[in-house]
Amino acid sequence: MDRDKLYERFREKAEAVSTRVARVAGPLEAAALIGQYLREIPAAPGTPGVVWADTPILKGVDVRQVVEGAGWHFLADIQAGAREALVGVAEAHQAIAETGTLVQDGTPLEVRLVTTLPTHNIILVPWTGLVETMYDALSCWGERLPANLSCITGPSRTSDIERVLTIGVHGPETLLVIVVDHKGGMV
Amino acid sequence: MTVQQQDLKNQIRQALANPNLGGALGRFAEAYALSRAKAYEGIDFEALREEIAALKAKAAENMEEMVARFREEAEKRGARVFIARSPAEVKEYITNLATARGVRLVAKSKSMATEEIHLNKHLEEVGLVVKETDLGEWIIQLAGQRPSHMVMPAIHLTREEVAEIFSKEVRERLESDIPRLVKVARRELRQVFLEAEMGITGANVAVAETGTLVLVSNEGNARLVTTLPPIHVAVVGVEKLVPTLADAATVLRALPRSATAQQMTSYVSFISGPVPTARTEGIGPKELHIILMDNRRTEMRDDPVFKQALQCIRCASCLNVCPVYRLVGGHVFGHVYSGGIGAILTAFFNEMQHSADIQTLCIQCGRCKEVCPGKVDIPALILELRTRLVKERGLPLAQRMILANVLTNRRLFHGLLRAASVAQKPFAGGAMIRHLPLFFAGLTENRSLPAIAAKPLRDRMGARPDGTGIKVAFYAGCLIDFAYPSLGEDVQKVLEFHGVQCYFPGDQTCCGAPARYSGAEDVARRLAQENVAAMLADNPDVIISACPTCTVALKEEFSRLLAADPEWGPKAVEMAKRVQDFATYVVELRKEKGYQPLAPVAARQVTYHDSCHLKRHLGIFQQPRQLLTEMAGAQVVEMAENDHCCGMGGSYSIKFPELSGPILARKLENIIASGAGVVAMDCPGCLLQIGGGLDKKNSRVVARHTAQILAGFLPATENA
Repeated sequence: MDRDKLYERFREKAEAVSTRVARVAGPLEAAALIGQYLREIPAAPGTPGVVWADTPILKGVDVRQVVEGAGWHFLADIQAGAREALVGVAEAHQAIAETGTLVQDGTPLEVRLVTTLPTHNIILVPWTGLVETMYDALSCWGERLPANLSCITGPSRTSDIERVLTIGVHGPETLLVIVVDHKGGMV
Repeated sequence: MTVQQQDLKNQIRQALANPNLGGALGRFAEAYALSRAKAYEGIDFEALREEIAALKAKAAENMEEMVARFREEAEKRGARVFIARSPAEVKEYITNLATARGVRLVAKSKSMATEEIHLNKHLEEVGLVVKETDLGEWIIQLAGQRPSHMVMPAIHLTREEVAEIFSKEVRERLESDIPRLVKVARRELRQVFLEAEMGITGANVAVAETGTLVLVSNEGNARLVTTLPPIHVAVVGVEKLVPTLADAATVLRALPRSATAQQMTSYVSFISGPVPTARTEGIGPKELHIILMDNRRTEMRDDPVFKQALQCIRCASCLNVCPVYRLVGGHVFGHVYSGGIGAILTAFFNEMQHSADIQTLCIQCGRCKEVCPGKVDIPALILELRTRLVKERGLPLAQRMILANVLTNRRLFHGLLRAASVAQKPFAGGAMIRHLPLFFAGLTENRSLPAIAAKPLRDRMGARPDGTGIKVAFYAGCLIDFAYPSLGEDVQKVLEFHGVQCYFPGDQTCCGAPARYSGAEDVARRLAQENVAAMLADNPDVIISACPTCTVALKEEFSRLLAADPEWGPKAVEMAKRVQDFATYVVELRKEKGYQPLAPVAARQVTYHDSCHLKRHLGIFQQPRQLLTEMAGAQVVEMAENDHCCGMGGSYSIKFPELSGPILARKLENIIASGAGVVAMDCPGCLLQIGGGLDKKNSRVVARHTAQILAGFLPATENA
């Protein structure tokens, strides 16, 4: 399947499970979108801020500036900050079109903290990481299977009380996925 | 009735009296059927489950190798692997570890393996604080209950009850607003994640080639339990092992779809070795302990019949479609593991004793088997369990007397039925009995019963073939013979209209289903032999049955029961080859003769009820519909849930009238809602149940066997 079709399928499936999906031309556009998104999030007074795990895909982007430019606090110490942060930003390696799933090497502690504790998650994924199925995603790792490989499909959810779907239990309540192409502005 | 049976009856009564339970489970079951179908759109379910069944069966076959490989790979990656034979070893390992590391608080992610061994209770007894973090598990932990569903543990509780439970825990008055209750859980449990020194999980799948644990969750608690505490202990039943990562992906195609009708759960973690974690002295590697637990799983694997149960992937879809689970829930129908599969797993992992009563609740409708992604034949395994229980303990005396002394003595049995036709006279109004006195009253509470005919079919139909052409031996079964003899005559009329000769082999007797479904295989075997002899006596070309339960017995069960018998085994196989059900045979005859269909008559609306044995056991559902359309000019309007059980289940409706009744009531609602004036079916048992139910209700809808309808539309001359 060509990548445009994979993207469309991914978007459709991810949106069906309450994920917001955007496609941008490059790192600069991604940074701009994150800034804009942060401005949209209704922040209570005294909002603690944003934790940002390593995002090699935005190499060269001053992420602190993106956060502060949007009027948020940049919490540099992720371990301490993740407990209070309202927003976490991280990167995933693959996006599975069939189910709208992100696949991420969750081995670094920061990555797991950033994607489990804050209320809102923004996850970047490279355009080249689009694959069709879980089989395709897993086979890419081969011998390099990390100690933690995390698949994320939409925000945290439960139906444990009267089967009523409720979004946001222990994990994030919202998820924005930004698929980053390499045609756009580089830094 | 034994004390345990009395207990079971009391539990059923309480469950049925709880409107929340019936409401919640009923609504869920309805929604589940639709959403599951949607989740599987574009996926070849049959091919997928074939693949899963094969890979799980193979993994079970090579369990020792799989365990060794997993251990090697996981240890290579830095995990510690402990192989536990018994629950006691699991508990001891975790207790020792907790003591050595000074653990006080344990955060748990939902795990059936730890429920199975009552781990929480043990850890609490040794002084640890254990907190379940899955919302449903936390609710039932606070309520001091056990899960009533393997995937949705608190499905039996209402929001009001949850608010009550949470209010006590947090000591503030909470409203019964679900999103708010969820927020309370988030707030309370967040502290647990952050403070716990040990996290305990199970695993949904374990991959041998990479030593990987696969954890599936929606809430995100499994991720937190495996991320924050510095120690992670996973308790994994050895049946969770699969050879490769690709196999895990295959299981993951079915698990969320079958379990919660999701294409994928929010989170799936593949854990292959320890990850960095925050320790008091800074970031360091997490301690990862994996306990592979046997607890009689290899014993199950070595059992030629029950090894199949290891193909279960714990999706619980069998509960979601079960008509009995839907009424009483998992606290009654289950022990730790719930429903039919629960009865089977409990017999091995816990105590046979717990299963003895639970398994009796299965009505054998076969719906679970149809949706099982591991292709586990749950109803057959339940029957096997029943048979073994009877072998081990025998049947209650009265039941034994009837089955062994009456059913196997054709003259006595049929003599009693004839006597009953006289004795019933004071209660019979026409062909129906609406009220029976005293302890028989339960039998006519939900439905009228057909009166025993004054003259059974065996006295009305020729006992030997006496014409030319194809010889068709009719196997009537007890109900047609003694309650619906005119239905038997209708079968004969329809068959003879198509140019074959039909006769009633006089030595035929009960097909043995009541014995088989009670676990009395020895009785069933004697009846099988008697029937094989009777049916082959005049060397018929074809043997026809108009009762799907009997058809299954003739076609499949007799040869299985007699397989070890050098004389009767081959005869049973020979007989089985000639057996056909009525509808299929008539379709075949019409095709041969080239008969043309009638023009449909719009006003002639018929709805069709698929009998469990006919649809799910024999795979027949199109043929009767075709005959109704072609021969009677009927327009078949489908009712909702057309293949759901009517609640008859042979003697089930006598044993559990309190469950059979509500299942029937639902069926009747669906029939009436279809708007058709006639409901057709191909099983005299269903006819007894549904016809009796409609009669008791004074409904204008009439219930008919397909043969009865067809006989009424036979033209004077052939329409070829």
